[in-house]
Amino acid sequence: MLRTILVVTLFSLAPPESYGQSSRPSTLEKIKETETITLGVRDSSGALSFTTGYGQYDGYQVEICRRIASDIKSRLGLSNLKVKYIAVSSQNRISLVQNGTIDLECGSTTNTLARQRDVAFANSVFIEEVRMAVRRGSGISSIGDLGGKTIVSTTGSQPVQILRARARGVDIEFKTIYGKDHADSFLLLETGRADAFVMDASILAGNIANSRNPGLFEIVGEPLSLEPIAIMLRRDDPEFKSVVNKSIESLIAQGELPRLWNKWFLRPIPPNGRIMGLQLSEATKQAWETPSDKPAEQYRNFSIESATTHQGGMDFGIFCRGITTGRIMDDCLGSRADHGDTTYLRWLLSAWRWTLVVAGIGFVVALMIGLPVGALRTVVTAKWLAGSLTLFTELFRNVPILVQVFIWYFVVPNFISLFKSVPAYLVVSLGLGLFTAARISEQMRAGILAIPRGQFQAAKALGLSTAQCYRYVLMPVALRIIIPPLTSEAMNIIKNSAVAFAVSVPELTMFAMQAQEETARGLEVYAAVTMIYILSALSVNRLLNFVEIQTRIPGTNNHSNDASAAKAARP
Amino acid sequence: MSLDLSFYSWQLVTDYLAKGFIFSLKLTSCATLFGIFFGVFLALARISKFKSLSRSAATYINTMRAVPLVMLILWFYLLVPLFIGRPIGAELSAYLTFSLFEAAFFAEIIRSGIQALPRGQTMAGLALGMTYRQTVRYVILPQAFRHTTPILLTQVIVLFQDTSLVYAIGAYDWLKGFEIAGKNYGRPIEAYLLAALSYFVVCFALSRLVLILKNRLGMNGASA
Repeated sequence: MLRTILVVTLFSLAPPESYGQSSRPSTLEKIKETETITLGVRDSSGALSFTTGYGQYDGYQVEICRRIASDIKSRLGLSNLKVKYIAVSSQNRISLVQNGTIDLECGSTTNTLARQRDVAFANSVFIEEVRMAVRRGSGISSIGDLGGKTIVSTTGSQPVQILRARARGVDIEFKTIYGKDHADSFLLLETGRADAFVMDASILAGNIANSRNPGLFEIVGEPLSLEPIAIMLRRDDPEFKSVVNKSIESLIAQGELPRLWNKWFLRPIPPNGRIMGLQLSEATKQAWETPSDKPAEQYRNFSIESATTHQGGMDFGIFCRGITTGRIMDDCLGSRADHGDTTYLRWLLSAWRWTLVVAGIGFVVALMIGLPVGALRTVVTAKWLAGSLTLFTELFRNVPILVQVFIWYFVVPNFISLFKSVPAYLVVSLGLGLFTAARISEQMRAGILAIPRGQFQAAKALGLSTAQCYRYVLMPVALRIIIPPLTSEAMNIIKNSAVAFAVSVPELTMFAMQAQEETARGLEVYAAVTMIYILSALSVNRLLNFVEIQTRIPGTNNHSNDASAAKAARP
Repeated sequence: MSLDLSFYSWQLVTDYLAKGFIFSLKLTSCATLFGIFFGVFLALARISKFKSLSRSAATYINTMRAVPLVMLILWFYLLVPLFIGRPIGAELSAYLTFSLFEAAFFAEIIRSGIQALPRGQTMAGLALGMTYRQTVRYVILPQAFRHTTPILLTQVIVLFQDTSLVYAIGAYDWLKGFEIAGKNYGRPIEAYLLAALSYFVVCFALSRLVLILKNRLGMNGASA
């Protein structure tokens, strides 16, 4: 009875427009009916939200969410409320809240105006400061010291955009690179490939605490920006938002927050008892005194315009926006002279160039290594040589390319110091090249084996040396046979070059992930990038088809790429 | 820099790796089964006499093969909910994407197997009074599969490695298990080295298996 009254009361409290917007049940109804609340959590967001293994999640934000869940349980009078966790990423968290897959997102999401158009935010109880981590004694202590330095941040995050905006004010030029995730970004700092890591202070603190030698690093500089981190929830359910906020208010009233802060940021935490060592900031203390859901824009003294219209449909105008100011620029190609800013279109084109460079060099490496290795494998008799050639092939094609590239970039330099100075794009080209070479060598080998043995024997009988046999008889035929599989390898290497973003080459996939975060227009960005990939792959396909036709042995038909046709090509 | 060997523990396997490994396996087997199933139909459509059918199959296959898998994964994840009007989880989305994507690759392999057979096989089948369906079912496909099994299995190994791309939509696969353990313990280098070794062991074992199978089928070196 009580429950019925409660539900009816809650129902009548909901403002009428929420009915107009959608007919789906309110979050509280859903929770009551399913006796389950679903929390969106992160696998690795510092001490805010992380996994402690096997579907268990913990952290400052997660614990607050669990407290809210238990308040909801007693409010709904449920005897049992199951708390379910779903791991989210920065790419999917907003859509998962919008479509109701998760009820509360308890990660490390910044409350921004752009996001407020899609979701609602509870009052912030954690104000993040964006700062820099540097190696101790590097001489960097503020933005002013960054001239000519290399700065790293994480793909798909905001700090770099903030730094760009701030640096413009003080007229400083620096180089920006991006790590695939925070751990990779920190590794770039640790291995000396970057001079400073710009990111949320809690994440910097976490990475430093976790590193082999925390004493080597320090967090410096004035906060570049204040980011109100908040729990995300559905936009069309204000009743649920007020329930969540009430719960947060009571946590504040009970003085629980300082206790939680100590627990997560100043004491040892799982999984291995590290200490974050993040002191309570003035801004966070302020937020506890006057809780609010102000977006980040109201904490900033500089402005980044985000795409304003957000009705359905595509708006490709975003590509004419400046990457620093977010303003639409007259010159869409964004020459640098225009207000010292450049556009997303220009960035996209430069990303395309990087993709082609990496894939192109990679393919040359692959051909230079793969073809000889493949040919050698059909001729060598020495066991050790045959064995090591097979090992080469098996090694490079049986490890995911992402892992290989990472090892070339981060692990190999620890053992061979010569590798430290090799630029990232060459490392990726080499990794892609070897990965593809392993596959090409198999095709080359198969191509040669497809030629009837008699050809080789006939050439030998004519007095040619083995090398001459290969050069003048077998290779010309085999190379023609393998043009079709080489075509797919060439298309593959363009697609596989997407892994270059893992070692901070600013190519198309990195552009896609970073630009969709900055512009909040994922569909347009992905559409443009996908079209460019298709265009590139198809051009390569056409080009190699042309080569195939041009090199075709006259008199053979369309299906010249098999052994019988090659046989028929005898004069 | 020396490696921190204390990172390698049994707890690492149970807490971080097991779950991801199982997902990678499930994803690989699901995509293989559905991929081959759809792939057969796509391959038959591709070589069909009906121009419109063969053209649409070719378009599908070429598009799927021209787009990076990671982009496809993101697209399906974003677009499918728009069509069916309700969200699908990251894992379901991954199953769907991989099945449809692999179908295009398997189709090309199966097509090459079918086209490598002498025309006479079909003619003989028809001459014996079998229908086209029966010829395909009892004469063509068994031979095509026999010839292409090693290539199909090699593609499955590639597929197993490709499952690592589901990081883009936040699904938890084997590689993700290594990465998260590396992050949460602050030992990414150790984690990636172990990942390389683990993938190598699994994929190498599989590729040896393919080789044995090739020898069994008496076709070592006979296929490109």
